[in-house]
Formats: sequence, C-alpha cells, structure tokens
Amino acid sequence: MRKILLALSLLYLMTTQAQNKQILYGFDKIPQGLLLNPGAETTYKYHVGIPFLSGLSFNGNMSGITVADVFRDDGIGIFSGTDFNTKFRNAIDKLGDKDYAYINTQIEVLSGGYKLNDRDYLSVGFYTEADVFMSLPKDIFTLINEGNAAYLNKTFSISDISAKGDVLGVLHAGISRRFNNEFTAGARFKIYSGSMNVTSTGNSGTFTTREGQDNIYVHHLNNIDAGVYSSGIYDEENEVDISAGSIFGSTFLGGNFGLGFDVGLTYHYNEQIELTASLLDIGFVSYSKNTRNGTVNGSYTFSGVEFQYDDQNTNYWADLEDDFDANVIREENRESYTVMRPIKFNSSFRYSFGKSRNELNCHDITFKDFYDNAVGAQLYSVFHPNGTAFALTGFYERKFSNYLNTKFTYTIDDFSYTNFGVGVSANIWKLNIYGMVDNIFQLSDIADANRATFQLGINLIYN
Amino acid sequence: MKTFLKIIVLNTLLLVTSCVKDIDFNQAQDFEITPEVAVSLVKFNLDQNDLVMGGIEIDSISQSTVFTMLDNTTAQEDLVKIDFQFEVVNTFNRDFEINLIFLDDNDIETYRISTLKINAQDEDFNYIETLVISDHQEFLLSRKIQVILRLLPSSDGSTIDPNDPRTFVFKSAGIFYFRID
Repeated sequence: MRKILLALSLLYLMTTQAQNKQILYGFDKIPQGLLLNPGAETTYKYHVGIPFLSGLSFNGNMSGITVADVFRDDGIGIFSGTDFNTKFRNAIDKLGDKDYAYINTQIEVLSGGYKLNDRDYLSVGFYTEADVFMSLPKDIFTLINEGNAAYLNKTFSISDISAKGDVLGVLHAGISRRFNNEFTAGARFKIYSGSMNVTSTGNSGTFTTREGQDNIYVHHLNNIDAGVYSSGIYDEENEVDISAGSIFGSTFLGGNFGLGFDVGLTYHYNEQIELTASLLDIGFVSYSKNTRNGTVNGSYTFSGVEFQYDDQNTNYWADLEDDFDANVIREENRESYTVMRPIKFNSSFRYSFGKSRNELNCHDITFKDFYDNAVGAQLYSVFHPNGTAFALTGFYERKFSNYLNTKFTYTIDDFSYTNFGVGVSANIWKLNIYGMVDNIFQLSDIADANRATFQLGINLIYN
Repeated sequence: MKTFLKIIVLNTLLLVTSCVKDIDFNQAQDFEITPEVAVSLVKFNLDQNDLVMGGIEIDSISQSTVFTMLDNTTAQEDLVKIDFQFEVVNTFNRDFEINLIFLDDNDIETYRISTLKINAQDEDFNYIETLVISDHQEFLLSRKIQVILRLLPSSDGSTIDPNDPRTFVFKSAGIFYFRID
C-alpha cells in the first residue's frame, strides 16, 4: 500500500518540472507551436529540430491537495500535532468531489518542416507521449482507509472512480496554408502507436451499509456497472510484463494502431488584432495487443447467512457464493477495445501594439514583426473522463529584439489561481532556443504546488 | 544584450532555486490504513413450531456452515481485532442459551464466544465481545461457524404451546479492524 502511495507521489514530483503549453501557444512562431495550432503562421523556409531536444514537455497537476500536504517533513505537519497517517487522512478530507491528478509528458524525437511554396508550410515529426488521468475519489479513499463501520447509511459511488493512462508514439505530418494576409489554416494527420493503456471510465453503481431489519446490518450493491481495460501490461499468462524497452520499443509503429488529426486557424481581424483556435487529437487508438479486460455488473443485497435449522445439510456459504456470482456477473476477456484520445481545444485573442522599427524593414511582411508588444487572452480546455477542464490565460508578450522574445502569463485553472509563468525564446544565428516555466512563485517549493510545468527545446531555423 | 542576459540569469536562478523543500518520503514507511469493516454474520428466526417436534420440545438445535472470510492474505496478516455484536429478540417465556463456535477444517475448535444467556421474554438482548487476534492466533484457522441453541427447562415444568405464536430472532455481525501497511 505504501509503495503505491510513494510511487504516485514520486510520479507527480518527477513531472512537476514541466511545461505550460499556454506559454508556448502562439509564442514567437516557435516550430513546436505548430503542434498546438496546425494553422499557426510560419516565417521561415525550413526548420530542423535537434533530435530528442527540440521539444521536451512535462506537465503535472493535482487538484485539491499537494505532495507537501502529506510528505512535508515539519515534525508536526501542516496540520499541527499530527503524524503521517493523520496527515494522509486530513489530505483526503481536503479533497473535493471532482479533484483529480493529470500528467502529460511529451518528448519530441524528430521534427522538421519545409516551406513548399509561398502559401504552404509542411511539418513532420515523431514524438512519444504519456498521458495519465486519475480521479481522486474522496469517498472511495475514505472507504478504503476507514472502512464502512463509521459510515452507516452513506452511499459510496463507484462512478467517482475514473482513470486513464496511455503511453504512445505519434507520427505526424501537417500543412499550414496562408490563404491570404489575414487568414491561415492548417491540419495535421496523426498515426498513433499505442504501447500501453489502462482505461476505467464510465463506471456506475453504489455501495451502502445500513442498519438492517432482519440483521444488524444490511449491505447493498446497487446497479454496479464497472470495467477495467488494459493493453500492454499483462502477458499471455496474465503476469505483469512491463519494461522500459517494451514500452518505448512499441511506440514507433509497433504497438496498437490509431488515427487522428488536428485542425487550427489564425485570423487577423486587422493589423493589430489576431484570433486563433485549434482542436487537437481528434482521434482514437484501437488496442488489441496483450489486452486484458475485466467487467462487473449487477446488484446484490446481503444481510448475513440465515440458518434454517431444518434437517437439510445446507452449505450456506456455497449457496451464498453461488447466489452472489449469479447476481453480480464478473467477466474477464481479452477482446480489443478502442479509446478516444483526450481532445484539446486552444483559442486566443491577441492585441499587438508599440510599433518597432521593423516596420521599415520591407522584406518582412508579417503583421507580428511590426510590433514589440502584445497582450491577450487564451482559453484552453481538455476533455477528461471526469468532464471538461478549462484554463484561462492572460498574457503579455514583449520582444526585446529580433533575437529575444519573452512572454509572461497568468493562468487560472482547476489547480491554481496564482499561476504566473514566463517564457523566453532566443534566436541566435540559426539556433532557436526556448524555455518556459509555469507557476514561478511555487518553484522554490514545488511539492507544495498543485501545478508546475516546464518546457524547453532547440531548433535550427533557416529564414 | 543586457536585457537578454538579465532574463537568462533570472530564468537560470528560477530553475536552480526550484526545489522540493523539507519533503521526506521516508514517512511513507509509517503509512498504514486502518479500515473498520462492518459485516453481517449469521441470523435466524424461529417460532414455536421450530422448537416443538412431534409434540415434544427439543433440548437443542445446531447448525453450521463453512465460511472463507478468513482464507485470504489480508485477514491472515492484517486483521487486528473483531467486535462481535449480537442482538436477540425472545418473546418466549423460556430462557435460552446460545453457543457460537468457530472451527477449523478438521472441526477443531478455534474460538468460542461466551455463552449467550437470553432470559425469558427478553426482547432487547445485546452483547458485544471483543476478540483480539494476537491473543487468539488460532482463530485465523477458522473455516466453519457453528451456532447451538439450547432451550432451558422452565422453572414450573410448563412446555411451549404450539398454538401460542412466539418468535426467537437472532442477529449477529462483526466489526473487523484491520491494520494494513
């Protein structure tokens, strides 16, 4: 049990040095911005990402509680006079009904792009991605931690249990087309190669213990409908078979096949106002390799074994098990299943101002380079198993020179109301180097942050 | 260029100073959960016809069943204590005794609940007995439960009238205390 707890916490901390894609979105025409909006504008002839270094992004989030709530080594904890287990219990108490943990990491292996003509820019690449969503079901944690004895008449809903995890590789190719000076649109086609997946979503049903009439307690399982689907975890003997080699080895066209696409656009309302939007990962992965699935369906009420005191030599326990099995159907299979990718939506409004001398430089006809400053807002949402999560970002972008651009953000989302971020993009010779840090006021104590992200990348860009 | 350097330095400082303060994962070594699980056990409901057969009162009746609640790793390793709870409604004007006995696979007794003595017309009998596992390790070998009901002789020699409707309701449950680390 404590190993599971530790692993979850470490997983979160490992991913808290991470990136915020709201900073990258629309920032300085960084090539990786095309992965967030395939309809983004480009101003270069071609680009080549440095393999494995062109796009590293990590994003760890946990709403409701932080790692520090449980693991702070302060002797007395944040809750005075408490030991570790009390801190753990208090952390569960802090959870709300809809809290969850979400982790997304991407490593871009290869990327490049080429300007086909005056209108079209082709970009291709391959990246690996791990995407984990897990609800933090307060009631279920309470049931596991404390049991049902102190919670008579309380209904524990298993619909609160929701989890989804993917490790996959994505081979992609996209085109951004400038239709005219005002409007650019693009699309990206993706081939997914799913290496590992666990999905348990859409569960329903309740468990309740009440004071009974014909016995002291009566236990109700009502309308249980739950399932766990997995791929790439168990071998044919149902033994767990996971290794880094097998996970990442099958991310390149060796795993479970899937298709998807992104679409996006950029529109200039006038010289200073720009609107963008994109939809990402509209697609699916069909899992068929090393699958193992389990489902539970049914209802049951139990108030104890009833002795009849007749002459029959009844095996009450066997009868009980048979009756339970007949009413609560548990099945296991190795059937294929399909999982939709988590669809992400980005949009932005941008107002540029403060003309620079670049305006006099007639060889650059893009709108943006006429201005040194921009302010705006971005809306991001991702469709989780628990529903749709939103993030609203306000930003100020300042270009100090043709070599250096900066972006400052303030983001409100499920995880934080105090999330300030900063991004820097430097263009030195043919090198574009960018780095972004989110939640900067929590950087000195990441364990106490609900969200922290970091991103960096290096590209070669040829104008 | 100065501005550029400032920003690079600022970002570097942010990253370098970014850290995990005063976090001790070794605390997880102390982690344990302590669920208290309430489970109904055995129940029965008898009337006067169950206690008179062929016009003759029975002295005692017994029933048993196999159970496998303890035949798992969690129970064997993490069960700390059980509070057995009993409730009886006796509308007979006769005293009863109940013995609840746990047996292993070879029918060897592993634990016996103290004899429950239910007085005549006691309609609110309650009893709780606590079993601490460390004091009765053999209890974990239990795979059967037997309940023996004894009808005690009346003080005036009267017997149960099959035409006089009476009931004897027995309820039992356990609160199982676990410590899982």
